[in-house]
Amino acid sequence: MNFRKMAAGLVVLMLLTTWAFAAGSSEPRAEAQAADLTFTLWSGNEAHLTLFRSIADAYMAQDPNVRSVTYQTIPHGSYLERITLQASGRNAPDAGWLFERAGTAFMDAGVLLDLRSALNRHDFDDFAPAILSLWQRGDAVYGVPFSTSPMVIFYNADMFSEAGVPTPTELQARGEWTWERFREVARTIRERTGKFAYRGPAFDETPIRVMVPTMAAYGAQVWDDAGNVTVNSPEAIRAIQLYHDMLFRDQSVVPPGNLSDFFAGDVASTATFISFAAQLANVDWEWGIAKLPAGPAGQPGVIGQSSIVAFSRSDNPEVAADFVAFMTNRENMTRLAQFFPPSRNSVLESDTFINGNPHISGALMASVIVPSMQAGQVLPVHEQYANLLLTAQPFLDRLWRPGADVRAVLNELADAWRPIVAN
Amino acid sequence: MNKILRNEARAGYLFVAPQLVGYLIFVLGPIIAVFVFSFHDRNLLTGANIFVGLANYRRMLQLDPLFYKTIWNTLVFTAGLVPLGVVLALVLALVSYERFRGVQVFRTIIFAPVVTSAVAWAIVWRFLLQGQQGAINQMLAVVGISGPDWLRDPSTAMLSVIVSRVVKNAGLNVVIFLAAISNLPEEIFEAARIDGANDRQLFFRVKVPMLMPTILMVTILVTIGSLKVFDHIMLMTQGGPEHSTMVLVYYIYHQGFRFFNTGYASTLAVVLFIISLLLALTQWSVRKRVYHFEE
Repeated sequence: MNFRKMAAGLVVLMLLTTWAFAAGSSEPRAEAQAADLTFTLWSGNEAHLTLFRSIADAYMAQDPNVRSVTYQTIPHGSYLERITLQASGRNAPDAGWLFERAGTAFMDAGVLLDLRSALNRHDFDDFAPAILSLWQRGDAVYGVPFSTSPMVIFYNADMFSEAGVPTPTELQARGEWTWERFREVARTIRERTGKFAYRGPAFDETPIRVMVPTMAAYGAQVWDDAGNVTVNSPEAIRAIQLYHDMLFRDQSVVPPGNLSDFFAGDVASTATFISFAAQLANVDWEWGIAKLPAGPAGQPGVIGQSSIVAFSRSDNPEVAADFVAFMTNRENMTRLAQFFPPSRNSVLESDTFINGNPHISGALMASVIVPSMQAGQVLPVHEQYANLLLTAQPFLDRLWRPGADVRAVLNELADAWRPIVAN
Repeated sequence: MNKILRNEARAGYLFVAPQLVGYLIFVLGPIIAVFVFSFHDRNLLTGANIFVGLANYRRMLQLDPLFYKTIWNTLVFTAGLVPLGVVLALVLALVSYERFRGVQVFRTIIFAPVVTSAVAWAIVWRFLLQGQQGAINQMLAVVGISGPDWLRDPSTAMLSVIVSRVVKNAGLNVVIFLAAISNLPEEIFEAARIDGANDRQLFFRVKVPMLMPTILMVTILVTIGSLKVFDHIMLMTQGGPEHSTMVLVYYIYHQGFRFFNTGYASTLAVVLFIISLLLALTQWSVRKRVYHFEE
């Protein structure tokens, strides 16, 4: 008797659990009077958070209907998983940061709010069109780039002088700062110091990005906007062959799997984003920054871009969009510019941006950073980026190995990518 | 009488209730949900949830070559990990059962990896195994061997992950074996000796058969644990090189949280569930044949 009741109870409980898991997630919630906003970001830096909190305080002061703004720091590595999981659990953030690789997929999935009408209230024409373009679809604007970070060369000046070779800045001044010349210099550094001369983007974490700095100088792209795979174009093959030779013939570049690090003083130079300058605050060696080396296609610019977006599953979509517009108005973007390269023309030219970076001098900002931003092409994006990455992995693993046939592997990679990119 | 029994039963049910409710909500519920999801085209990003019948299963069996590769990799991982893990734990347990100077230190060293964070462990192994600069290849170089690029070479990557995992978890199984060994009745060994058994016979004909229930239990634990490997793969190889360490769980994670295809990921998870179930059933049926002594 009792057992039967118990069993019946269990079945009911099981059904309830299943229902709870299987139920859809699109049920609208009643509009609340006072809005509580949640904003996700991947920085836990106290200086960043203090600035963001003060922006939130100013916003709440002008709109009494906003009761609270909570900043939620999520590590970069699990950022997308966490915000999508929260959204599917009816706990979506209202707004937050988003990086360029995810932007396209999120826009196409319809999970970002169109911010255009909110932005129109805050001098929309001030945004630099080239910087904004990735986040636009026709008239709609789905994200406001708050950090448009050019990839630059950081170098250890002590190691260059120890090897008796000119620094990137000196080569740049002579107009000799090209990949071909860099290859010679790197070989000398390797021979004379025994250390690696350069560390490119990480082979494991950002495998597609590895190819970008060299390819950009040769005028090549991994794929183009028209849906063509161009990773095996003659220019691309030349660029990758050169980098391959530096890696395995000259052994002057940190190879895959090797954990030698520029910021720890093991490597003479690296290509990365200017936000990494903060890591050099306490090193006891001389360092400098320069543009990326040039190539047959001239001076390349490669930029990584993160935007502030509002999520369409927010309980308060209008407030969320308005908050994003407020956060990126001229005044607030000027304040953000001490940390993040801005997207408003008025701020790009402002003194706060040029002279406000605690780690990089005004002269370098004006001569290296600003031109790199203006010339820049945003890193490769695609709505199927994750799928392209998984597909590419076996080919890239074979490519970055001594003795690989660069042309043959890139041709195979292009064949594997073509159906996904064109789709 | 009946009433007393009923009251006792009620108290008993109340005692197991917390565990049971937790099991239903956090284990059984999700398992059932995964079966339901596997018949849907679900997308975590868009929130789409459309019933598609067997389409996910058709895709898995007919259109996804990576699925077969991950199944193969998972089997290779298990086939490598289980014998290595069980034999190593048994040998270490037998050695550390002996009373010799420093046995406490020896036991501590064996057990230390178990309480080390898996993340720290995997990252340290990545350093040890990195190309020619890694400590392992530098030690090999001293004796004139040029070691491979362990984690970058498709023929050694899986082996490297298996070894790092075996060493990490051996200590836990050593403890189980130690408990079993110290419970073995001395008088049986004495009787065997009197009957003229030598050390070898004593070990293979007496000790091992009597340890069989424990060996089987550890084998089951290690096997099922091996199907769940995720952290070592994620941190050491990320499924590479050339997908040679892409195991089923890591592929499920890829489909679910990188591509947001939770429907298809659930289909793959159903396969994992069935494999685990079959393995457990097989091992329990073998159990009857290997139990030489059971109380």
